[in-house]
Amino acid sequence: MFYFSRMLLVSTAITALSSAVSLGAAQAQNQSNPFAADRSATNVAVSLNDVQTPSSTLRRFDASTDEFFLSGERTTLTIPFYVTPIETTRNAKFVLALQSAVSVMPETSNLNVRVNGVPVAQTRLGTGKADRVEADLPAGLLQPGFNAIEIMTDQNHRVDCSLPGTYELWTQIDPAASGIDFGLASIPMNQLSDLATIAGVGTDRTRINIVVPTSSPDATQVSQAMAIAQALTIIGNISRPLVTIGPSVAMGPGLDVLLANTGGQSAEGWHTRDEQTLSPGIVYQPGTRETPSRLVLGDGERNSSDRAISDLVDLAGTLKPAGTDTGLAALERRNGANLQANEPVALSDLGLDTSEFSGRFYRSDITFSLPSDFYPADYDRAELTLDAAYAADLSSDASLVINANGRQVTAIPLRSTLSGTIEDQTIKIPLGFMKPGKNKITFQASLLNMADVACDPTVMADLRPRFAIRSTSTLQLPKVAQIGHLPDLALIANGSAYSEPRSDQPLSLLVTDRSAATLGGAATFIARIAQASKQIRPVTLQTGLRDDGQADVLAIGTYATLPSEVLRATGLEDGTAFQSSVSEIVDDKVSLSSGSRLLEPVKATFFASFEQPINLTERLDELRNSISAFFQGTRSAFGRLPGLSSFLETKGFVALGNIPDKATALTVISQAATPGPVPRTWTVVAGPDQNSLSQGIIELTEPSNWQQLQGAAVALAPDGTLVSFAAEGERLFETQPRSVSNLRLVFAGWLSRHLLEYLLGLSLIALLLGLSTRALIGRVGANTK
Amino acid sequence: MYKRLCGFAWLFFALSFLILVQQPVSVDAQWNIAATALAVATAIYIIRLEGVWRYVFLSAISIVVFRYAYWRTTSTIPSPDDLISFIPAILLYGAEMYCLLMLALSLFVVADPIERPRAAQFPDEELPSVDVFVPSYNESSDILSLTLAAAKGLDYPAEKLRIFLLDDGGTDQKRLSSDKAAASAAIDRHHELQHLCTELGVTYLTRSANVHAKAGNLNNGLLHSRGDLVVVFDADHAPAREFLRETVGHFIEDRKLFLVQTPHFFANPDPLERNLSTFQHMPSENEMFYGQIQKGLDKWNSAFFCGSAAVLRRSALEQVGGFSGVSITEDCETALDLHSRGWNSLYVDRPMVVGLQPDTVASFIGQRSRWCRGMLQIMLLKNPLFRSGLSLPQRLCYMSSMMFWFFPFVRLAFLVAPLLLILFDLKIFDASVDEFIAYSVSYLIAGELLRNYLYGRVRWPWVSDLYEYVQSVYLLRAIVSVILNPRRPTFNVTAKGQTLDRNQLSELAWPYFAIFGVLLFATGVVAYRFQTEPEIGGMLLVVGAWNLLNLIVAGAALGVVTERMERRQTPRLASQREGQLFFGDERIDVSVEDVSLGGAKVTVLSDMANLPDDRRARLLVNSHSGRGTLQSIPIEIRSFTSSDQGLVLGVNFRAGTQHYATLANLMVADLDIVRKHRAGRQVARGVFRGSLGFIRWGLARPFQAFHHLLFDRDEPSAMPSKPVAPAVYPSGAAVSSEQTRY
Repeated sequence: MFYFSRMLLVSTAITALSSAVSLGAAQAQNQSNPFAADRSATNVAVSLNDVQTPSSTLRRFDASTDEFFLSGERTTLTIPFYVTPIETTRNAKFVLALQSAVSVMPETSNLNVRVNGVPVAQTRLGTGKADRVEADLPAGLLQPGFNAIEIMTDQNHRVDCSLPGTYELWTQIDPAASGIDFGLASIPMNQLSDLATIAGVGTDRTRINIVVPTSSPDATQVSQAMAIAQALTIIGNISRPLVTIGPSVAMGPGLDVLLANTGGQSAEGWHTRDEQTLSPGIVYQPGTRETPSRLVLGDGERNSSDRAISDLVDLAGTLKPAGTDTGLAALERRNGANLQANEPVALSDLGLDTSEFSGRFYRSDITFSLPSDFYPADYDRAELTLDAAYAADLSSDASLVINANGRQVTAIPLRSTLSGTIEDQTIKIPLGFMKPGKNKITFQASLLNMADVACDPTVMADLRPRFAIRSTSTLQLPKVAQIGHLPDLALIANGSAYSEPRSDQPLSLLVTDRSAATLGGAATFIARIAQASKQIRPVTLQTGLRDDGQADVLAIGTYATLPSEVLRATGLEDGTAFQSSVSEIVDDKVSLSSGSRLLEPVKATFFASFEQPINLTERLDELRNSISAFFQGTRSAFGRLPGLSSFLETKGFVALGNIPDKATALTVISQAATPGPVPRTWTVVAGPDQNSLSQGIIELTEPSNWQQLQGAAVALAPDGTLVSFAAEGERLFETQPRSVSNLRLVFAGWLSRHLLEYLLGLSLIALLLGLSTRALIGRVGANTK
Repeated sequence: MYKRLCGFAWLFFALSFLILVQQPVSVDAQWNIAATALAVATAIYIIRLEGVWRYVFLSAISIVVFRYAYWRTTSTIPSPDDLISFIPAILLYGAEMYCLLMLALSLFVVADPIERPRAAQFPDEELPSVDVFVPSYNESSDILSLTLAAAKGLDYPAEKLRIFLLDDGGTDQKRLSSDKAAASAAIDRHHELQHLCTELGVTYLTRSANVHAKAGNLNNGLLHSRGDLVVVFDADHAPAREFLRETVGHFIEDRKLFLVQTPHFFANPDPLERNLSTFQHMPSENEMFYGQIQKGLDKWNSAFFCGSAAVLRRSALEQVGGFSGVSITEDCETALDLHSRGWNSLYVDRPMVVGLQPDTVASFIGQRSRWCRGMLQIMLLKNPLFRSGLSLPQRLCYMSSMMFWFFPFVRLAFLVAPLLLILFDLKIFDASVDEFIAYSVSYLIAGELLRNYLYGRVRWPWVSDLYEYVQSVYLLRAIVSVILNPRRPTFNVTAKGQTLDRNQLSELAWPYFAIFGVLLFATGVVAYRFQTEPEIGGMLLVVGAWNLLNLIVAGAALGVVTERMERRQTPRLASQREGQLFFGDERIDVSVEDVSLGGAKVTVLSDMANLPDDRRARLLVNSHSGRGTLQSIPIEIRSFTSSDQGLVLGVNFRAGTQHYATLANLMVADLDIVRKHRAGRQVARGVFRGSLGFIRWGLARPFQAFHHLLFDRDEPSAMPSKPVAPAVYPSGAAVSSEQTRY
């Protein structure tokens, strides 16, 4: 686990570095520096574990070690933190355990903490040893519900003035030893929404253990367990759930869920501890830092746990989070704010750092969310209106680079002998750069100046501002096209791995065994989807493929055990030239670490299809079939008018043809759209063996990876890199009430995703227009005899 | 039936095209689309495919143009919140949309220019009777006698041809003027011309008062004549012999025909041609109008009267009370009136008159100002869109001809827009550099390709821009005054035949220098800002390039307003007539190379033993048909030079009135040489070569102009020539309607 986090960190550092290199700023000799940074980070993490002895009453923040790795010259981390009403009456102490890199210069580096916007603590960074920040929080500062904890750092390098040097600046906060201490051994809860406090318990992952009576639960029990896992993830706002399903209670921190349904179990025996009834039939038994809490559903009466589960599910569907304004904003930002069309939103509201920056490498980003049926194509542009300022005499490669989801949008040069302002400059980001669900736009400004070349230690403390993006900068989204389109794993990431937007549409879970590992992996995956979508889907268990074309299928297993039909349809079966409307093979893979050219498949050439010896009869048959199919398709499409989906219907599954390096991948997610007017998704999560698969699911459900799911397939390599593969084909289906404006946008989007077709169509029409003009002109007006 | 089918098919394809072409797609996709369309268009352009390919070319260009228009409308207009930027932005947008509208109209006009077959020939007894009107205001008797003599020499049954000199310089009003000197001049003129007419066998007509200017004068002619057809020649428009044979037949064939218009051809360069030295090899400005646009108008039965060199039907004119005189361009107005009564017009693309153009920038501007004001008057007072009786194509054609004259506003917008960006930092064009290149540049290329494909033979690249710019500086005020008061403009007679004794700046030159200075300053500002404001560097490059383009046009215009010396009072016409020179008894075979009213250049063909002492001689020339000779003309040898062909003599005519018929025959009876010269100039110059040449003007001419500005100390002036009167009636509203551009 930990190893993987570190590896990801390395890859992130490399990504960032390579962008820096691409700016032309970094010199080749500096490239080894990030690895140095990583080594120290690892060391620190180890030493933190050695040194810190957290209080037994400390409540942790809901942030992972990765999130607590504050790298760069200035960082801002905002964490939503749920406080129960009882806790607000207590004296609280804010605790942070941290260590900074040795390269951080103490004179000018510091860390500030604000709670709900109120400064509560400040410390000097760069002392070189593990540090501890403590502050008493005045009563009334924390409010019931979500509160915002903001941790801001300013870090400067002791000796290095280069851009890669900024990667050596970091502070690692130890998540296990940081939090808020209310002096309570257990979390006092008295309502269901207080379950949000479980997000911070335990380790990096929030463990939910659902206890089922047998080691091989039946379909009903699995369905119930899945419902519980989804409901708790939503109620608790758990961004990193780790769900297990098994017959035994767990050890260590986390939450055990027990079903007190029938007299068969010793339900009575469970009611032994200091417990709180959150709702009729739902009882909470507090644990400690070391032992799990318990949630008992049902009171022992027959079907009482069923009622409790349905209460839980209902609550998850209706719960509106409460808390302070800043706390709710922090929560929304974590999920990605939804933006209204044609309304400018201040970038600072989306999380951008808009204060004056005096370092050498400005890095900040904004996140926002787009609807799950958002159709990403270049039919329109989001408008970023930028107000910024920069200092005089920056070096020749000083520039502001703006990336949207890893693709560069623009690079604005900032080199001048005079200081300058960027006023009201509009940057248009094509909607093709966006994706359904959470989107991220990063701003990176390299701001070296002449003094940095000399890097004189006596002037290194010069902290005159070099750059600022003003808070008047805004982002405005146009009205976007909304239509379901498959396959697209970004839909999964956004919680809509379903063809139907309605939440009562069941999901068929296809597993080949009911082992704890398999079911736990499936539950973790499904819970993560629910956390993103805030919707609970009924799950029906299947052990073999029963395809009636009516339900979305999620298949989880190893290549050896999964039905070959499913593997074939999703392009995961070896050596099968699988039949679909999509013949292109994506061989242009680009790893996330190098950034930009994701989702740009290289098509197989026209001539490649003639590599096989030509059987003329066969070819003619094909031609005849395709022509008759075309007419049939056209006729039936007209017969079903109005119906956009039928217009775009194709035969066979639409998915990726073949995934080139699945054998070496830890885990692969691949999605196919089924044939038919209303396509369903077949999503396969598969690995070479059970261990790889379990590990892969955990890695994939990490928020940083989860947000990167897109395309028809994603392969997770053992080194932690994600590779996305695009399907050239797509299947569309309507998700919105039909309107001309939306259909027009969808049509435009479809054309811009099918440029060749557009070009041919337009050329043909232009030709016909020319010919018909000639014919008409010859028949009107005067003519020479 | 088949026509209706074609109409429906066209409508269907046009709608599909519109839907498909205005889809918003990415900038990359736009590049692909534009590149494909331009590649197709370029291929057709290079191979010079015509016929049906013309329409494929047009639709390929339409893709780029429509995509630009859609993008420009939907993506580039800044928010109305910032009014200071928004108002100029909308004005610029309006100017561009006007350009697109004009483009559409002009494409409609030249959709299918037609070539008329030669008029049918009829036996003399079936021909209608013809009255030729030569209206005059203040032209000299020399020039009038040439025109009248040429008219008298027209190939037509003599009993059916009457020539009228309509003298407005000798009216009762003029002769009884309270200004004694003017009155006496008018009386002298009256008598002189009466005498001339008697000698030439021409009817002299004048009237009591100069009301309704040229239209009134022509109507007076109508009152005093009875011919079935009426021909109008301006005083300086001497016709070729075949004029009536090439035109009258059409009237017999079409009973509803009211007009046959023929092109005007000019023997002298206009100021732009003279000052940039292009007259010998570049097609004249009016050739685009007469070579393409009138032919296009003819397709839609919209060819209009251009004031001279035209035949009209009397019965048609009488139906509308003669020539219309509401506006100061009576010619176009008359045609509009008659078209709306259901009469037809027709255009014969054969130059058969030779006339004069204004010589100085000032008189050129004055002439264009009259055309501009006149056409706008018609548009405001008799708007063809709302006038009953016209067909839809006719409405569009007339609107195209009239709306063309708003070009000064567009010029102004395109001149000022980059300055607003450069000097005042207004954001009036909301686009990224990528978009600008993908949309605007492809649009500009498409426009240039289109122009060159359609008009390449009659108009070199960028020359339209230069003509428009030179006129715009002074036409803006004229337009505004017409819009404010459409009935106010009065008829000013264009001065022609002026001479300039040295190179000098036009008296109208200073605004051109001022504009050039501002543009030059803005170019410097761009260079400075490019250094200091890297964040908008890309945009500055784009705007700077735009401004540079304006600067080059303004630079070339400085060349236009630097007037070149012009000593020749009457222009020479090329000739290739053989003849003999008689010195007493000695006879020498000669060939006449060129000829003007004053003299000729002749090459000696046979050996000339010794030079005669007496420089007086007689020139006997063969007739145009080559059979027989004409009356001999007394001459005096002025100069001897030698050339490749041999000895060349410069001779002056010592001609009397009785010789004018011969002179007219020698000069204009056979215009084949002149026509050949015109055709020889009509060679397309490619976009690349044309642009290079234009840039050379833009770079070099300002230096000469500034030299004059700094070192010429005395007042510049144009001198009216002595023998040729200072002003003649202008040659009608030759409107060079064409697509405009940035």
